Amino acid sequence: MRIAPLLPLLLLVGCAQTPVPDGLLARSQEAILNAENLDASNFAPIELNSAQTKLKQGRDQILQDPAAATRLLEQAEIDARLAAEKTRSAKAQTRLNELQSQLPSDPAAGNLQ
Amino acid sequence: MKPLIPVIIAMLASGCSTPIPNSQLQEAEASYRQAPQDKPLQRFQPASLNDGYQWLRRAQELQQDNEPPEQVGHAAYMSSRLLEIAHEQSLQRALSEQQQRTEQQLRDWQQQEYEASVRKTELAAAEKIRQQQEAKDRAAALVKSRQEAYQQALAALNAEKVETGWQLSFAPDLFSKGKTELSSQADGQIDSLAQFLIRYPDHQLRIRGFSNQASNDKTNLQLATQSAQSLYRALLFRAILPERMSFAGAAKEASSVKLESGQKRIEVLIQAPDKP
Repeated sequence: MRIAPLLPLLLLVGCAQTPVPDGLLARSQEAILNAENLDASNFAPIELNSAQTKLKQGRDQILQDPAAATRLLEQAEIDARLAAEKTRSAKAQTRLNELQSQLPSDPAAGNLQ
Repeated sequence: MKPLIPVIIAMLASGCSTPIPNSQLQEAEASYRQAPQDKPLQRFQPASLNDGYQWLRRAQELQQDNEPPEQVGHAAYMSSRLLEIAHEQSLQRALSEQQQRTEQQLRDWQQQEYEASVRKTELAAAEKIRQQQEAKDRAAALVKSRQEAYQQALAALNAEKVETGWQLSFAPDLFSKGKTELSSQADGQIDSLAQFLIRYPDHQLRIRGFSNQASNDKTNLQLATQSAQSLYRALLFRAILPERMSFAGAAKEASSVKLESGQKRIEVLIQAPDKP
């Protein structure tokens, strides 16, 4: 009906190029969601922003240029993973600093005279 | 010129097949060359490092095969990001180990603090007991030395313990002949008695006189009273308060020593205050 005029175009595109792999879009979205939940916007804003931008661009190009979309979505996923890892590292470092600040500067000085 | 010729030939030969260098691939290769210096990365070798190497090889192969630069660049980008991820993951492992060590140090330190505070409390308690014992010992020693000094003072007076106190006497030969006054020979003994009374101001004195000078008891009793009074006066003269002393004459038979005819005698009873 309304899709009918588009079908030849879709077929043309479909034949000419490899489509975006199954599940890649979902994986990218999930990786970004995961990073966001870890609060990556505070600890790795550049990587998270890059992932979000590439996800959007990749999604927009799925039909016109599946190869470019695949690359963008793969990069979005890997950027989001890096954002998550950087966030974990930063949190671990903060926690360690807190613990170390609880230690006496000289462990021997902790002993009562 | 000569050394350049082979180079030029090589350049010409490879010119059409050697791809244009890809900057993203060069960056990726450069960062992987730095990887051996990353100590946590080498130690923990997370799986993402292996994935990164695979992407790097793919990028190099794509470059070799003259594939489009965006494909080479993409694979290089993926490998660079995976190396960063591997770096972060190994850093987290190292941080986690350090956190465990720090937590152990904290536990050890807190345990030490606790033990030290327990030791301090125990030492303080022991020190308190020791001080209390010391004070008790000092008080006991003081009481003992006071008692010894008291006994010595009484012994110096030649006083004897009797039921109601300590008794001493002034012998008949200490009286001036035919008089009720004590002679100057008695001064030493009176001085000693006065000193004792000054040193122990809570002690009381009962002075009793006896006389076998007269032929009748009534006169003897008067003489006995005067004899007792003479010692009373002598002690007043030595600053002993009158309310601490009493004097009286008594029948000659009451004397603890039998009196010969013409003799007089004084007996003194020193009384300590009743212990509260």
